[in-house]
Amino acid sequence: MLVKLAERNVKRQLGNYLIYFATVMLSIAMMFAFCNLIFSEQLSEIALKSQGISSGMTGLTVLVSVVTAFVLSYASSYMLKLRKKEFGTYLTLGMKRGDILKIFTCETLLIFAVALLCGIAAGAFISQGLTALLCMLMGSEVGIASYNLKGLALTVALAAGMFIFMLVISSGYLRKVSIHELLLAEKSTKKIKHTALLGVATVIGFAVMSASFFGIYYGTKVSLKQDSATPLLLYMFTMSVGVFVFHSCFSASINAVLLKNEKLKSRLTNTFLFRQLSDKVGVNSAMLGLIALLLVFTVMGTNLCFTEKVMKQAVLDRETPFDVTARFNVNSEHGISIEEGERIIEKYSPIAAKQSYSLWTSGKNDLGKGIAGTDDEATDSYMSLSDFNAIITLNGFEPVTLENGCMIITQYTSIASSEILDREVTLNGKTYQVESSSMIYPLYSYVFFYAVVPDEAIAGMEPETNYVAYDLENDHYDAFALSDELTWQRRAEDGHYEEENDFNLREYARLESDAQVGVLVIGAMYAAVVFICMAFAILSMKTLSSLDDDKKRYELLFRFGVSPDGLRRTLFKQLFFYFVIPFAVPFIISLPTGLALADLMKLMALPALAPGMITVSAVIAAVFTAVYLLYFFITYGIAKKNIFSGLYS
Amino acid sequence: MKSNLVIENLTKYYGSGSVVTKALDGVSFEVEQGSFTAIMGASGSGKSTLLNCISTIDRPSAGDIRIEGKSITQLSENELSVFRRDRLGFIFQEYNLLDTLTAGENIVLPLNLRKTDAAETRKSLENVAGLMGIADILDKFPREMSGGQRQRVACARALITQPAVVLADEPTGALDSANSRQLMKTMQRMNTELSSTILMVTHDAVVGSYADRVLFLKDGKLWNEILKGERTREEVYADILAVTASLGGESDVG
Repeated sequence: MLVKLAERNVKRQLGNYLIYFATVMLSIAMMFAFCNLIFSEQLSEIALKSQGISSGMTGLTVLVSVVTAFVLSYASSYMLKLRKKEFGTYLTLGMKRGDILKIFTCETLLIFAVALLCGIAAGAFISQGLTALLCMLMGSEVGIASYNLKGLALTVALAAGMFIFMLVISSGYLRKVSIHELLLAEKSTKKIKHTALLGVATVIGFAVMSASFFGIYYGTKVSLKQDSATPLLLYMFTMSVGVFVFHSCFSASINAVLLKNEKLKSRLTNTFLFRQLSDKVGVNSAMLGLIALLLVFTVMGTNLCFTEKVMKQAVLDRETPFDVTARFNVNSEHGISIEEGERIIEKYSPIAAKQSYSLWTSGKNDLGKGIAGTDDEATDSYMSLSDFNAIITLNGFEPVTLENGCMIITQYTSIASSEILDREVTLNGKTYQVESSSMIYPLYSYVFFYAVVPDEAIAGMEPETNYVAYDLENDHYDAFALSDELTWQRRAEDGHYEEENDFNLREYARLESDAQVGVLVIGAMYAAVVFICMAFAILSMKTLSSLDDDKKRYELLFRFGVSPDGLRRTLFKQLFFYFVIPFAVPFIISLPTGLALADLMKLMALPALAPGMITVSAVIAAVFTAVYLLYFFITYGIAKKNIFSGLYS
Repeated sequence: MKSNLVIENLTKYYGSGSVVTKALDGVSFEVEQGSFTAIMGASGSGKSTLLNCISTIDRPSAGDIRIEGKSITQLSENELSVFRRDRLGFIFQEYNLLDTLTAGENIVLPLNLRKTDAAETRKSLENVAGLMGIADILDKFPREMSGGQRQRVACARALITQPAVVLADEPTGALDSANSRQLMKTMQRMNTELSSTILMVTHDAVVGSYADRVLFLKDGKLWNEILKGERTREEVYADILAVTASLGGESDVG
């Protein structure tokens, strides 16, 4: 009997259950897709190489599950509110609380079971997309993702955990609530007090929030220069406080401010609108503050992860300028000679071209002495102009010329703009003044800096390191196997053996970097989608749970002569403002975030990436807006249907 | 005297096909300007349907309703909204005050809807609040007021636009006897001092006895009529009880 009642209830109230069902289903779908990915073959290969990635992914799933469980327990309280009168009637008719709990459990279980099945089915599709995306990000071949029992078991276990958590919260409420409260309790609208104080706090919150955004931007620059994350973390903290205080106090006080404006207030349904907003926004101000904070972090986090993706490519181009770079320090022993190495490489790909170049040393430190960011013990390194031009032209740069001086090549701002620019060095009896410094060239050698000098200047010098740059015919090959073959063991002074590899493989670096970035981006996207959906689901459920009260209010407005169009407009504005409050700042910060990241790219000597950063931010903002609009219009559609159905004859 | 409201052969069916209920069956009557008319009848007699049709919330199946000479049965949805806003006042059983608005905001809502300027709105509010004795509770929310206060606020809201007809649907339904008496006296004052035309639906004989004229509905038809004339309220009350008894005795006699 109770099961039948529960089944009929679910069928009858399908419309009200829609957002609830969609939220549960989407959470499970995302969870299944992600759990499946965690245990997939593609990722287990990467996880073998990096334990951090695997535990990071599991940690993320647990974090998302905790957030989801909270949202779902909130969702169940929404369901209880919708059914208050019905449960009150059951109790009045003599039904025991235990029986009502059974009905509610049966219903929720029914919804959960269907949502679990639909979620897993949807998750299976999403999983294909996620795996394909991961393969694309990792530069590996896109194939059909396999499903695994471990992922399914973890999803079912997490869903069961969420269900039990939700049930405990709901049963606690149902055991305690009185019949009077269920049937008759008038909803108390809290009066907002201390509006002046709240207004001041809003302004302060806004100032702290804005200052922190600027702080984060400049803090990142400082962090880059000082190699310290402290200022950045400090600004992140003040930004969190600012975002929360601003949104909470703004939500609590804005309507009081609007209601003071007699002219604005007396226009059409404005008083009603402001009071409705006050009823919904004012009393939920802390929740709106938290949602805004969650969304700000989501937007910024997603931006940073995609930036990492774009940046990694550029870093790869800079750090591994050639398909293979062999590096032989003249003072070290080498397990594999150049000839032997070439023979091994050719087993994987024919060599299309090669170019040798060397770094020379004078044995002194005339140029680098006392320069911040250099090692005082290190001697100056030199490269001949002909070698330098030969390798930079391979990377598409124009050859450089020198006017009887030298040019400093470095990767560090602290060296490029230091007093080294005023120095000079005497080689083979001729003095060379430093003409310029440059940071635009890839990493051709692993020294703090080197000076490019005319060929005659290095005559008589000892070579420090000999390099050979190779261009391979195949871009993709089994770089892990090649790297293994090129690795040899060196006996260290303490008797232990250390692995050494004198051949720097671009493909190997790319695979490693892509795997890390792929997992990072997928993780960020996953968290972002779940957080955004959860945030908007809360807003939707909050709106829909008070539809009964709203219906009565709008019915009255209709009686007083507000036209159907006027009613729809008022409802639209009410929902729009409610949804826009926690959405606006996270959306708006996409622009400065994009600009700041673009600026950072320039600072990191990657100016070509700057426009890409703005595009990334714009795409994230667009996706964010699309999810927002989807939830908003679904909520508006359901609210409109519920409030206005049967209103007009 | 001029008729403010004319009902002609009003008919209303509910349902379709073989299951059709005739809620109103050719009802005709006129309500004069400045009169206080009560409509009584047993449950299901058609009282609420009649009031819903007059208040333009429901459309009649046949017949005509004219308010101040204007037929309202053929108006579009938006024209009806404007008509309700400008020419009708409402007092409901459950007060029907918007719980999120203060008393003052509830009262001026109809003026806001017709875009009356702020100064005039304030003046009208002061007048009507003074008349109803609610000037000191204008900043209170409905939940902070007593039942009687809420109903007086509802009356003030019905009066503020000076409507052609004030429609009252079981106005004392949620009040105790003392507050009911108080409200009926207020409505009588609205009728005598402000010349408001009032059409009230009730099933309470005591409440009905405050009206100048009582119409009885039975099975959707106009069945009987009592005119107060020069008689006392008690005499009218006795007449109502007699008619109610012949109707089947379903009206309250408290």
